[in-house]
Amino acid sequence: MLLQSAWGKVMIQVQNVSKTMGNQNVLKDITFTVGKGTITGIIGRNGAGKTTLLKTMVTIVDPDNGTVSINDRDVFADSKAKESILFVADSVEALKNYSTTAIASLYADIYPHFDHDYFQALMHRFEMPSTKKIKQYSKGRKALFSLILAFATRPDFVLLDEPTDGLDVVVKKEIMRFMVDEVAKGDISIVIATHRLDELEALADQILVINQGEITETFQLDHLQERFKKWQVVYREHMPDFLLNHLHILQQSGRVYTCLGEGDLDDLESQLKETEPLLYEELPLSLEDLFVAKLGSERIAE
Amino acid sequence: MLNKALMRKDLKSSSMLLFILTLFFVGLYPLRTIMELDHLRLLESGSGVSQVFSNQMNTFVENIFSGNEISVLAIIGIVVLAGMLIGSERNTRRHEFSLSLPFTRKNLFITKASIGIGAITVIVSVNILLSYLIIWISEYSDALTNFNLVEMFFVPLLAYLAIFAFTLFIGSISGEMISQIVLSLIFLIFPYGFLILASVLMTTHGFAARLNAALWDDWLVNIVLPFHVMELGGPESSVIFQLAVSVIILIVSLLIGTKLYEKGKSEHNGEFLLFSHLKPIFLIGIVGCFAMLGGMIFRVFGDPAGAIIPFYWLGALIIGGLAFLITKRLLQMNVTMQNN
Repeated sequence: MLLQSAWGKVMIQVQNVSKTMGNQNVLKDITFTVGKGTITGIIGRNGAGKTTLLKTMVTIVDPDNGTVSINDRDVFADSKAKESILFVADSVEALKNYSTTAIASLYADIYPHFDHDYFQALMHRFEMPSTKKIKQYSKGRKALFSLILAFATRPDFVLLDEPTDGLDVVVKKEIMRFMVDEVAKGDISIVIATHRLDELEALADQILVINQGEITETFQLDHLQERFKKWQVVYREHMPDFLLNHLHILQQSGRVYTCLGEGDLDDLESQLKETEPLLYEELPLSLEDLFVAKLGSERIAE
Repeated sequence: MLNKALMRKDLKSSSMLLFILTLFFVGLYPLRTIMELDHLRLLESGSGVSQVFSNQMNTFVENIFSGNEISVLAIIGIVVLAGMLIGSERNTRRHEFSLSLPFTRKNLFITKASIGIGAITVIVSVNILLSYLIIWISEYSDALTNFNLVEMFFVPLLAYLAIFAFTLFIGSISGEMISQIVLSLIFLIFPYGFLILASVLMTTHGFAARLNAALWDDWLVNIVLPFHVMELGGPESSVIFQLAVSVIILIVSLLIGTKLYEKGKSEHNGEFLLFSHLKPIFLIGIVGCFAMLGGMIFRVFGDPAGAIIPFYWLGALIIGGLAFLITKRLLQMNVTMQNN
């Protein structure tokens, strides 16, 4: 079955990917697509399988079942298909003894579309000094340099694993702006595995929720308001039981409930009103609310 | 099939070791040749053409082109080179980086093999050629009539190449550098070591005449690769047999190594072995060998009392038991440097 993304032409197609490590099913029948010029967020708790999924997409990890195709080319059968996909996780750590010039030259040999002028322009734009060893860069600069290298190869896809983890606010904002610019001006698509929901909210078009190796939810952020609503409701005593079965309770403090409705929202809202709460108001919806509702009560966004 | 970028990447990580290996071979051949020539001159000037000088002249070329202590270093250097190319990658993030690149795993393995085979061939050939030229331009060039190209060039060169290829093969089943190096060194001399252990076991239990390491020496020289480098001579059939053994080990190691490198799972990087179904075999093998080693050591204490068999088994139990505990831990370990 050919899967169609919400953006038309299918570009990355992950189909029925499963992986067992030891006795643990790390990935269970994962299927999704990533379209052209989009940002896809993969969210999940620690150990949910986010990094393994990204590694599988660039053949670092072999799946037990399933396929990963880029523009209809199976990455496991045709290694050249990976010329258009960059996995930015530890590439700079792996080459930490290289100079900036040597690493750019190496990438130019590996990736046929590496744009040396663009690389220099980005280095200049972000005021990145050249260095004889990449390991001399600070953590923030290493992260930025990884992205500069990745985008200078002019790929179709960039896979990022926790790209802003441990970075200060200024660098973080710089990196996010850079990513949005890159996606906006070209055909690049970005897949970000993260638990930083606040950042994804501003960036992503599509969110995949991964839980214990399974994709449990897929959201298009544009359509989020049509699928979910968040209310704060206060009752004299407590919320009626029949409502509890239809709502995700995000937080309860005494008689005050913060809840998330999903599905037929008009019907839910009218049911809610019929219970005559003391106070009832709609609140702005955040990704974190969905995360808490779908993956548990732990608040993970920092 | 060879990619410039992969060659550059792997050369960068192995350049220091290639330099050290070059130094070893410079010491082993040209430097030694210069020193031997000086020694000859000294003998000649001191006593004229004496019997000692004549003897030295006769064995001069053989001495230079046979192995010595530096050959052991060269073997270790070659094993570590293969360890740097495969094992150290698995200890660090470099292996995952390599796998994510637009190349097949076969490409990655063949590049590593080509670097090692190319470098060893060039280093050994150039240094042997230099030695030959130094003798040729010296006043003792007549001694080169004793030079045997097959025995003094092809046998050691192919043995070094086979040692490298064998270590790469071990790298395709081991999960990190130390285990790759240790297993390679053990298996390179395994036939010799095992025969000694087995012969002690047999003699201890009264089967002395059946198995004796000395009886197998000729055979061992031919099948144990380090002996090809360390010892010269033997009948012509033995030299051909040595060449055949090296070529077979070289080709088989590369073929099986390529296949296993393609099949190895990156999630086992840092572990002692990449393939978990090999673990019981290694556990039994290691414990068995250490038990025999323990028996061999402890039997000495039983000798005065005429109780070598009980002491043999006591040693086997103690050392074998310790080996069992240590090997179990070893097979469960994971050595991955997260920040490298």
